[in-house]
Amino acid sequence: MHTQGEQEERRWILAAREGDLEAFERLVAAYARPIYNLAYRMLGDPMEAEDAAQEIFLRIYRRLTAYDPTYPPASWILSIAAHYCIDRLRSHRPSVSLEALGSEIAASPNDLPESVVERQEQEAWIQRALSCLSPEDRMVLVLHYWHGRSCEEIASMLGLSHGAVRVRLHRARLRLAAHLYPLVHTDGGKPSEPVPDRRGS
Amino acid sequence: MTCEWFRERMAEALEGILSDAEAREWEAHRRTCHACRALWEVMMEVDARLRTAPMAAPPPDLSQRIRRRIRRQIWWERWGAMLLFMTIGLGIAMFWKGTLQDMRGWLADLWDLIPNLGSLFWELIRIPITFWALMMLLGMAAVLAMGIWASMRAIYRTRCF
Repeated sequence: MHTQGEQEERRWILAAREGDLEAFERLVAAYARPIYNLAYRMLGDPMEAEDAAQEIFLRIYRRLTAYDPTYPPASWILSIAAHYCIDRLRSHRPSVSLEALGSEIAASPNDLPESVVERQEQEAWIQRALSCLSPEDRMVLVLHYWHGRSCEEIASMLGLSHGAVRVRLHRARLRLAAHLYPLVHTDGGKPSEPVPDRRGS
Repeated sequence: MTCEWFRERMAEALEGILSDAEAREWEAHRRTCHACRALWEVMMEVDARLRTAPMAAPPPDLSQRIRRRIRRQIWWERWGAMLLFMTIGLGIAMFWKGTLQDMRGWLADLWDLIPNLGSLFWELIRIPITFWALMMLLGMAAVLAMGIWASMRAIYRTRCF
């Protein structure tokens, strides 16, 4: 069962394939934020994310004829974006500027200054913790939490088995937990029992 | 029930997909093991932080910039490449001006040879083996031409809006 939005996006892709540039631009407008977010979470730098978002849309445009209409458009687009970011991370590791961490999340005008600071601190923690993960584990986590994709969908997008995605997701959460553990469990400033690192699992 | 089992089942516990029996056993271990309980609390905190983390907002003009870049790309693929090849062709023509002028003489000589080549061709195709070889070559050329046409059509559909 396809949703109305999904049907519309599918029509845009098919129209763009036949030469309708406006249809492609509608797709760009609809996916600019998710693609930018995915690139930012993966690369950890706003400038890199911006450049990556442009490259990803160019890649999508070039692959319009390869689109299979039976495949959900969002999964197809996110899959291209995911592979691009992993390739980019493998070819060169971007430098994560600590000043930029947390500044990407716009504060709501109703937010109290304390909650803005708290949100930015949490955001900085998330980006630092994500940078400790391998590109593949990070991608699984980003697709699951920010893009609401199930393990089956992620497996199909990244060409992995369902079991491998579950393992990666669990491993990523454990590593993040290891990162957070000393901040949550401090007994008089002394960290309690550390979380076992299961990098090899 | 071991700590290892407990930790392996944390993902299922987070998603709430443990069976009733497993959930009871898992809960019992959580209550009695301090280290696993502490880890579980951190896992819950990690999950909560990730679930509440908003999407990063792109610069307001990002969509506009992407559109401009794609339009530039289309223009380049449609006209820029052609202009570049024409410029290169013109450069080569200028560089080899003398040779090209000499070519007029070679072409004139070739033109004189054409009647002789025509009669040679008719003599050759009377021999069955050369006739079949020629037919085979023509067939291959037709298949190649169709292949090139199909590829060009696919490229045009992909790149030309």
